[in-house]
Amino acid sequence: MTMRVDPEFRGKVVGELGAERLLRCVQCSTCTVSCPISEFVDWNPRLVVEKCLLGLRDVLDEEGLWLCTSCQNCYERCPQDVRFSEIVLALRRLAAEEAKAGRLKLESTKPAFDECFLEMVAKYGRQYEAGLLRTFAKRSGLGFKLFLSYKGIGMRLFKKGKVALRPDKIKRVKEVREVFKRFSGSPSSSVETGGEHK
Amino acid sequence: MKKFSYYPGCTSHTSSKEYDMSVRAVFSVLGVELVEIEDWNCCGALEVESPLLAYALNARNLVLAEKTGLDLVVPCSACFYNLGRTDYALRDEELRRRIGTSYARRIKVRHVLDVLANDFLEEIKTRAKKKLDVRVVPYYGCLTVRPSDFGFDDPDYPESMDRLLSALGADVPEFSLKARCCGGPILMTAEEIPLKMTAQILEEAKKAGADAISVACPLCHLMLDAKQPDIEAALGKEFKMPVLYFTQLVGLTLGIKPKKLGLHKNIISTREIIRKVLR
Ligand code: SF4
Ligand code: SF4
Repeated sequence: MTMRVDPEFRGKVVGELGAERLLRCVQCSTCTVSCPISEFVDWNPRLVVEKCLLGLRDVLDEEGLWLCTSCQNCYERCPQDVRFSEIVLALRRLAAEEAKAGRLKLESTKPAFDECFLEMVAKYGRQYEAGLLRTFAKRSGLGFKLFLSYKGIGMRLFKKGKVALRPDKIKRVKEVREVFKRFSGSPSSSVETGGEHK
Repeated sequence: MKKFSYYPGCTSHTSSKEYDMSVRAVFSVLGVELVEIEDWNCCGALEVESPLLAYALNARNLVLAEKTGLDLVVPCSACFYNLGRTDYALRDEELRRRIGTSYARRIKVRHVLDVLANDFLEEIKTRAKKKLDVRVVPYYGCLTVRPSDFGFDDPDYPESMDRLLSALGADVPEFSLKARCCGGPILMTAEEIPLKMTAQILEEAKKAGADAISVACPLCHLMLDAKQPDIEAALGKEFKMPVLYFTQLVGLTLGIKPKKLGLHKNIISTREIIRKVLR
C-alpha cells in the first residue's frame, strides 16, 4: 500500500455529517473486535479511524467500506461515542465523489446497488424489487449472471406469491421526489449537503 | 378501543407478507386497531448514504403518522431503525428546520416486538388458547435492538422475545448469537459473506436443539428462511429449520388459523410446528 498523506483529508472527513466525532477516538479497538465483517475480510475499523486521523486517503480504497452491514455494534459499544458506522457512510460518500471525479475505481457493486435502490424509491415512493434487479443487473455489468445467482431464492419467493409483479406506486410520489431533489439521492451528490454541516 | 398507527414497510407486500398478516391478525384478536398510515413511503432501508436524505424520507412518514395522533408501530427492524433514528435526531430543532419538517415528536415510534412483549404480555397470556409447546431459539438480529439510543431492550443480549415466548409455554434456550448480524444488507453485493454469517446462526440453532427460530425482522427472515436451501447446498448440510416470525407463534397460541398467519408462506415448512402447537 502506498502511504500518501494528505494533511487536509482528516478535516474533510470530520466535516462530513455524522463523522464529526472522529477526533474522540482513543484507538481502543472495541469496534474492531465487535465487527462481524472483520471476521471474514481484512477490515479493521480502528485502523480505518487511524488512517483518517493521519490523513491517509487510501482508506477510501478499503474493500470493507462496502461490506459494512450497518449492524451498529461499533456505534453501540464505542466508549467514546465515535459512531463509526456513521463514519463508514461518510467515507462511502467521499469514495463515491472520488470515483465520480475519476480518481478512484470502485470494485464493489454496492454503490451501484444503492443507487438503483434509491432510483426505485424516487420513481415509485416504495421499493420495487423486480425493477431494482433489472436496473442493477444493467448498471453493475453483471447482466444475466445476476439473475442466475439469485434464481433459487427468486423462484422460491415467487412460488409463495412473495414477488410483486408490478410497482406499488404511492399517490403523492411528487413529495418523495421533492425530498430527493433537495437532499439528493446518489451517494456522490449527497456530499454537498454533508459539507455544509459544521 | 386501543389504537396504533401502522407502518407496514415495503416488504409487507412481498417477501414478508406473512409477517404483515400475522401482525394484523394478532392485534385484531387483542382488540387493537392498527391504522395504516396513509400514502407512506419507503424508509430507504440501508441504502442511503446521506443522513439528511434518510431523515427527510422518514420525516415524511413521521408527519403522516403524527396526523393520526397515534403511536406508530413498525414490524420491520430496518424501518424501525430509520424511523426511530429520525425521530431521535429530530429532537434537534435546527435539524428539523434544515429538513423543513413539521414533525413535532408528539407520537412514539415503536417496534412491534416492544409493543407486544411490553404492553400486551398479560393480555396475550390471558387469551392464549394453546400452549407453545416447542423449543424456540429467539433471534433478534441487529436493528431490532441497536442502537440503544432509542431502543427498548438490551443491545447485546435482548430478552423481550424470550420473555414473551416463554410466557406462552415455549422452551427458550440461551442463545449467544441472538443479536449477531445475519449479513442480510450485503446479500446482493457480496453474497458469500452473508451466507457464512447466516450459516453460523443456523448451526448454533441446530446445536441448541431448536424446533424453530423466531425472528422479528423481514431481512433476518429472508436470510434464515428463503436463503436456507442455498446455505444448505453451499455447506453440504441439512438444516430444515423452520423460521417463524414471533407474531406467527403468538398467533398460533391465540388460536388464530395458520392460514391467517401466513404460515403457508414460509419457505421452510412450518407444518411440524403447527402440529406441535395445535395438538
Ligand atoms: S471503539 Fe471507538 S474509541 Fe475505540 S477504536 Fe473504535 S472508534 Fe476508536
Ligand atoms: S456497523 Fe459496520 S463497521 Fe460497525 S461493526 Fe457493524 S459491520 Fe462493522
